[in-house]
Amino acid sequence: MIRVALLGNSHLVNWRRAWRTLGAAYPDVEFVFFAAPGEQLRCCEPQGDRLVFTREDVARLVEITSGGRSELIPADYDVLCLVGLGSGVEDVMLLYSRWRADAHQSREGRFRLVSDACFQDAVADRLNASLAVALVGKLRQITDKAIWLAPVPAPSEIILTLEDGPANIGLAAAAPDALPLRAAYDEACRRLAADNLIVLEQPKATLASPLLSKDEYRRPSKTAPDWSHLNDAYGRIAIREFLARLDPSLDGQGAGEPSGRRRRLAGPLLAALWSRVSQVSVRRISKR
Amino acid sequence: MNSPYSDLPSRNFWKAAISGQSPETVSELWQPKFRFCPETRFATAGSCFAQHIARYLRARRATVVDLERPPPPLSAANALKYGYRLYSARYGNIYTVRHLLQLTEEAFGQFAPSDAIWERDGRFFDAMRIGVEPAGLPSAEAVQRHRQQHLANVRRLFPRSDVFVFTLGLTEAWIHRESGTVYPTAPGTVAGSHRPDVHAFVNFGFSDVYEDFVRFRRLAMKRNPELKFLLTVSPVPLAATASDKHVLVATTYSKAVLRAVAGKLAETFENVDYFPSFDFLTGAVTRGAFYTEDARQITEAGVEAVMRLFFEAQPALAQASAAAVADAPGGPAGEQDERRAKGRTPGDPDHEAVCEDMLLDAFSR
Repeated sequence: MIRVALLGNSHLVNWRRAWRTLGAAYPDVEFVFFAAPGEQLRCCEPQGDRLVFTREDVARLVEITSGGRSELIPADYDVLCLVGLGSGVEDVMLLYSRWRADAHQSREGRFRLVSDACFQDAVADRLNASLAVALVGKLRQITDKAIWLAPVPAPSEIILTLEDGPANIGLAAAAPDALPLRAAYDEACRRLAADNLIVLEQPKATLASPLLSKDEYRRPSKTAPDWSHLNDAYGRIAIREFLARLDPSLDGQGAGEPSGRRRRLAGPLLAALWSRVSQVSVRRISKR
Repeated sequence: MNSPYSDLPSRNFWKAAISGQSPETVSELWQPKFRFCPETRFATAGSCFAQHIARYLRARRATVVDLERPPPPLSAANALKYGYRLYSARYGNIYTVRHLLQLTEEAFGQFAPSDAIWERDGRFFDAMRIGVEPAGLPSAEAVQRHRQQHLANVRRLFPRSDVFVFTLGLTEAWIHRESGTVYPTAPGTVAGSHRPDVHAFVNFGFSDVYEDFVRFRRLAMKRNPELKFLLTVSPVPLAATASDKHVLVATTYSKAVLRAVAGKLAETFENVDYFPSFDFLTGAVTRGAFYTEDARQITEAGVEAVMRLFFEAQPALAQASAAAVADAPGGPAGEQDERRAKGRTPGDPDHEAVCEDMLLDAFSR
C-alpha cells in the first residue's frame, strides 16, 4: 500500500472528486486529503514530528477533508503531494501585464522594461514566495520524504471570450510571447525542483495553448464561468500522470472513465456494480 | 572680563562637546536649515553611503521617492542585485558630482555620453550604471532602450521630490578624452576595455566639484524651484587611487575637497544644507570604532549612530508613523494592485468563501 498525503486548496477539489471514481482502480494506493481554501494552510507549523494547524477554523476544515485528522504526521505516509497553493503560471501572466523583458515581442499595453534575467528571477521569486513552497519548507523541517508539487493549472481558455474577464491574463494568453512566458515558468519550476522535490507539469493533453487549459476541463459553474478551477476529468488525468510517475508499475488504466476498457467489456450491469464498489471503497478510505 | 566665546553654547567647545564623550553621547552635531516632516519627499543619490541614509529613512517610514520599482515578486536580494531600491531611480552609485551633472543633463537632452555601451563576452553593459545588470543585456540596442526608460524616470524625479539627498563620494574618475564623459567605473574593470588614447584619468579639484554642483542645482531647480539639497560626504576611503600618491594621502585629499565643497555650498545657498555624518564617523570622537577591520567600510553600529544624530535634529521625522507605507520595502503595494486588477485576491474573504464552499461540497459527500 502506498499512502499519499495531499495538501491543497480549492485546486485539490478536482483531485478529490476524481479520486472517487478513480480510486478503486488503484487498490494499492490510499489518498488522504488535507485541504483549506486560499492561503489558509499558511496557518500551520512544524511541531515535533508533525504539522499542526494553528488556526481553529483551518484545523476544523482539515479534519473534515482528511477524515478526522487534525494534524499531518509525515511518518504515516510514503509520499507527500502539494496541489495548487498559489504556484501556477497565472502569476507569470500577471507579471507580463505590467513588465516586459527584452525577449518579449509585444509592446501592447503599458509596461515597464526589465532584462530577461530580471524577469526570470521575478518569476522564480514569485514561485518561491508561494504557499506551496512555504509548506515545502515547513515539511522539510520534519521529514526528508519525497514531496511532489502539482502546481495550479493554467486558466481556462474561456477567459479569451469573457467580456468582463481578467484582461491582464487575457493579454498574456493572446500575446506572441506566450511561449517564452511558459518557458520562464518552466525554468522557475526546474530551479525549484530538488532531489526530493518533484514538480509535476500540467498534463500536456489538458493544455489548449502554452498558457491556457482546454475549456473542456473547466469546472462547471452555475454563475459566472470559473476560469481558474478545473474539473474532475482534469483531476483524473492529473492523478494518473502523478501515479504513473510515482510508481510506473501502478496500473489504474481505464478505471473511473465512462469509456474505460472494463465498462466496454462487461456491459452496463457490471459497470453499475463497479461504480457501487468504487463508492464504497472511497468511503472506506476517507474514514481512515 | 568679556570674550567673544563667553556666550557660545557648549557644543562650540571641544572640551564640553567631545572630550570625555563617547560616540553615543555626542549631540547637537547638526543644526539643520530645514525641518523635515513625515510628508517630506526625499530623493537619494550618490556613493554607497547614501544607500544607508535611504535605508534608515525608509525604516522610519519617511517618504523616500522610488521611481524605478522592481517587479513586485522580485525578492529583496534580487532587487538589490539589479540595482532597485538603492536610490530614487536605478542609476547605481554616482560617485562624482560631474557624473550627477551629466546624468541630469542627459535626462533633459543637453548631453549625450560617448562610448557609453561597453561589451564583455558578447553581452552589453550601460557604462554609466554598469552594476544594475550584472550579466549585461543581449544587444547595444537593448542597453539604449533600458537607458531611455531610466532617463524618463530621472526627469520625473525632481518635480516629485522636496529634498535631494546627495552623498559626495570621489574626486577621482575616468573620462572619455574627447567628450569629457565621466564614467562611474574605470573602463576594463567590469566590461569594456581601457584605451589610453580614448580614456583618461582625472582628479577633480575644489572649483570643478563646486561648479559642477552649482550647474546641477540650477538644472534641478528649473524643474522644481522649491527643491532643497542635503549633502553628505562619504566616509568610505578610496579602494584604489590612480594618482601617484599613497592611497591614504589620495583619500585625504579627495575627502578634504569634497568636505570643503559641501561646506561652501551650504554656506552659499539657502536651499543647500550639509549633514556632518563624515565629520562624526571620521572624527577623533569615534576613535575609528565604526570602521570594519579593513579600515574602509562603516559598521552597522556606525550607520546607526550617525542616523541617531540625524533624527535627533529632525524630531518630527523621528516620530513619523505610517505616512509612507506605499514606499515600504518589497513593493507589496504593486503586487496587491496586480491582484486587485485581477479581481480576486488571495486574502480576499469573498474569494476564500467561494473556495471554502467548493471544498466543503467536494469533501462532504
